[in-house]
Amino acid sequence: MWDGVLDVFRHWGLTVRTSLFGAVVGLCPGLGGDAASWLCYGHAQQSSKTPELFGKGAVEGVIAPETANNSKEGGSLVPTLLFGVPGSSGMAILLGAFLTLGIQPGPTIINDNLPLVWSLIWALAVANVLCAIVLIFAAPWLSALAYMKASLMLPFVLVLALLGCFLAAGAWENLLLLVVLGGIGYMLKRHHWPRPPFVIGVILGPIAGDSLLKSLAIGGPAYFLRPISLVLMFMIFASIAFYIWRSRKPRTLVLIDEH
Amino acid sequence: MSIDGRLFTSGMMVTIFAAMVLMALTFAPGARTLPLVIGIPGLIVTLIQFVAELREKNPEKIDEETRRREISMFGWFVLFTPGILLFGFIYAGPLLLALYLRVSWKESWLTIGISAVLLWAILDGIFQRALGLAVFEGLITQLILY
Repeated sequence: MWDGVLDVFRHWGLTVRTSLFGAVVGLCPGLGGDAASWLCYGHAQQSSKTPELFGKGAVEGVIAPETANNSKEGGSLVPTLLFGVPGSSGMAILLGAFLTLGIQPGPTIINDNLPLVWSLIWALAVANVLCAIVLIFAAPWLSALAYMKASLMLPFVLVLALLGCFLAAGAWENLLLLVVLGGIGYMLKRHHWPRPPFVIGVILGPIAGDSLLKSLAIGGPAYFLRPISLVLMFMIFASIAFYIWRSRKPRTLVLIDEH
Repeated sequence: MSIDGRLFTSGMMVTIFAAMVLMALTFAPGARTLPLVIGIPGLIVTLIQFVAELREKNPEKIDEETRRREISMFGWFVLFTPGILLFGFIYAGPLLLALYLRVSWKESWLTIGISAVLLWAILDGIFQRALGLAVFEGLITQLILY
């Protein structure tokens, strides 16, 4: 178990990068923890020396999304407190609690209620540490689940997945959709097509569509030429170019070896 | 499912992106912006992939045993769905679980009985009664009961 804890320190660079990335994603209201986790998973896979081990037990695939998932809560505290816009589902509950207690979030909270802001920051930090301590002691019992026979787990997982799919919209047609999408997913997995982009698309699609329309309505097509748009577009093209360069690199090495 | 499966998957992706682009063209100008921004590059990239796989001479060989096991599991997944659609989670869930454990894994009747009761307790006890969620009763069960 301690080996798993030490893995975080062995991959300290990845931990720091995904912590920062998670906090930045948390700052953007509406993106949510899933987006932070999946984006960091993608980053970990692209920056790994052994990307082929992802999905087969590579510990970086656990460290990156979980670090981002935790750190995004710290980031999402900022828009929640300063603008009254919840940065995540957890912060939406916190915002509800504020309103119940008569606390008004907004830019003035820094001047009017600074002790509360610090209390929340420390509460978040201490809660994470306490949670880690509790789970370290509970880990031996929780890990016993991994020793359960797969044959016994499979039908439970299958029925609960079908139930979750039905309960998402209360529609039995969802079950048919699950079979179709399950079939597509199986073919993609079998032939090495990445599935996370689909999940990212489902989560980010509505947010991206809404934001794009708003941005175009406010700034027109010139919105694409604004500095932040240009920086983001450059980052997208740079990451695609980097991925292509990385995927071509091993082939070059093989060719050199053959000669 | 060697080269045919690979080509089928690539072709499926081309079809999905092409259908998405064609559908987006029927949308209002504002609504079709994002689907086209995603769909057109996606269609181009998947077409490149499709052509590259068409030209590849040494497709990856898939272990026959792995393939058989995966198809069997997917078959069970397909069987569970109509079973639950027709008879609902509460009745079909434990019955299909018992059938799966007996036919696929030759588990003992004791293990099957405990697992089925546990699943029924989760579905009926936790989801239906404790959480108060309306678990689907099944199309045929609804006709019989009501």
